[in-house]
Amino acid sequence: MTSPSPQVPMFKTGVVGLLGLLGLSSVAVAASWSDFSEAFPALPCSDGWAACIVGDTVVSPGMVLDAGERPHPGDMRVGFFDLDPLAGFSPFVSLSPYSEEAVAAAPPPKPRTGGGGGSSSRPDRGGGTGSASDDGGSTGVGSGDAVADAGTVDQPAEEFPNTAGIDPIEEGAGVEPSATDDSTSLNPNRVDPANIVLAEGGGTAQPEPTEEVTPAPATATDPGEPEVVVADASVPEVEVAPPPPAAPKGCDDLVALEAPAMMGQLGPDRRKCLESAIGPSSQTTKNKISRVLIVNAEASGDRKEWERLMKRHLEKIDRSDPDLCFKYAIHLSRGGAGRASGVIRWADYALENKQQWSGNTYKKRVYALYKLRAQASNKLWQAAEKKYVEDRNDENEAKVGRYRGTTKDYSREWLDYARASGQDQKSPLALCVSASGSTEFCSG
Amino acid sequence: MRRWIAAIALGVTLVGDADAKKSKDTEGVNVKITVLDEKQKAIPTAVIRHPDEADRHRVNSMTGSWEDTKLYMPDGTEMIFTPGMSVRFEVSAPGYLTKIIQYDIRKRKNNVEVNLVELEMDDETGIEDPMITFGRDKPRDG
Repeated sequence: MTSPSPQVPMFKTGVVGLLGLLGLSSVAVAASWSDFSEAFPALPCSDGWAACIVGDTVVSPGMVLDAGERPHPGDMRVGFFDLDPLAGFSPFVSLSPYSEEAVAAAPPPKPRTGGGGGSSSRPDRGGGTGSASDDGGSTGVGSGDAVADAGTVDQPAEEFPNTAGIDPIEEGAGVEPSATDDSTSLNPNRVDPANIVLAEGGGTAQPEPTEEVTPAPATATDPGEPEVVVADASVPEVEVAPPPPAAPKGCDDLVALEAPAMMGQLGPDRRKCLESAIGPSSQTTKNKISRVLIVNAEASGDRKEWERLMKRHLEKIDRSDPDLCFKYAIHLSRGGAGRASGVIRWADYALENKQQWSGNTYKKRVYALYKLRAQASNKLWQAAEKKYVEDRNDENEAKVGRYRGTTKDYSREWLDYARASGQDQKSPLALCVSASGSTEFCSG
Repeated sequence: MRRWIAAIALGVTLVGDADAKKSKDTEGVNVKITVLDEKQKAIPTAVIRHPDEADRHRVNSMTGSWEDTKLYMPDGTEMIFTPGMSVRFEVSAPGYLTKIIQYDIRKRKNNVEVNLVELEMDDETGIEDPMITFGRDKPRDG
């Protein structure tokens, strides 16, 4: 049997001591909840409330998730990882609208005899006048700050006697500062009353806390007890979110009509209004009205109406916009030879104002215009050839010669521009040779 | 008498032979070109032209063919087709790719078929429809 080594107790003592030291140090370095106040802000909402709904997201002292389901503090505006806006992004959020019925206040209790004094008993701590009008639901225009309007909650009868001339519901809803008042329930995102901070005036006031409400029952106050002082518990004026802008009834504001026009939702009344307004207007206004109508017709898919409006615009109002001429030429090019003359005409007008474009847009559109024109002329030439084959007379022969000549010229111009701008030359060369019947004409 | 008749007959025979040879030299051999599409259907609007020629020759709209023994050049000279001659033609039709052929003329049966390929005109490929602006004087947020 061997005796234990004398070093073993020392070792044990050392281990125990080390463990104790570690335990103490872990307690010492342990974090408390207050250390996470930045992660769990008490008032995360932009309007100073402890909880609110932004869009579909409930913002509370807990954490909000970003698009990648990563938690962020509730008052964080943009995501840490992707910089995408979070629920608390906008600092200009108004209070949530109150959608419920206003709760009728209970009729004030009968005055108690010997109870607590009149208005003079109310402490006027802020230098206010202390009159009822200052207390009575004034929306931020009281004579003093919230503290000045403070009153006692245990004497509502004396403070606001139910006179015959005052509607009790109005009085209760707008004036009565009882602690049981449902004024805080105007915010559907109601949280624990202990956390509610009342602000002066309406929701637009800054959420600078004045005094916290102690949820004491109004009737349970003993005159002998110290009075609980609360801030002005007048109903905060709920700032209802502005309704969506109503559709303009008239047609004078063309800028307001642009959005519905882009969606093809002008409607027959407004279209009629615009049509009637286009006649007596100045040329500039005609131009704007006509564009609104054209955009609306295009967005609604009414090609026939769109074509009519475009034709009217280009023929009678303005043809200086190469975009419109180009667009109309493209539209006409989808038709047969009967519309080819129109294609050439509007392509020519667009080419006259081609300097309004620049860069790559210029290159692409000018090439496309030359192409449209040459192809349209080719259609005319083919149609004339067919007609001449069926009926060989001088007139038809002259037409063939004319259209072949224009096709030759237009295709040559197309080819020249393709060469100059470094774009596809295959199609223009083929058409040029076909129309001229000679490779020499189209070479170099 | 018999001698005179034999001499006249010989003379007539020789003159006829000489005239026949002269006609062949001035008219040339016939060259026929038929223009067809990819489905072997005649193209009624096709034309044929020699590179040095000013005019274009239309084909027969029913058969799609053209034939001749000579061409008239712009300087007034005639190009008579003779066997062994190599001739160049440009065959075209509206809506078809032009084809250039080189043909060596033979003594007979100069029938040439030319097939043209239709031009592919992709009407709107690469054309972007521009947006219509409202023509405001200044931008909305400006």
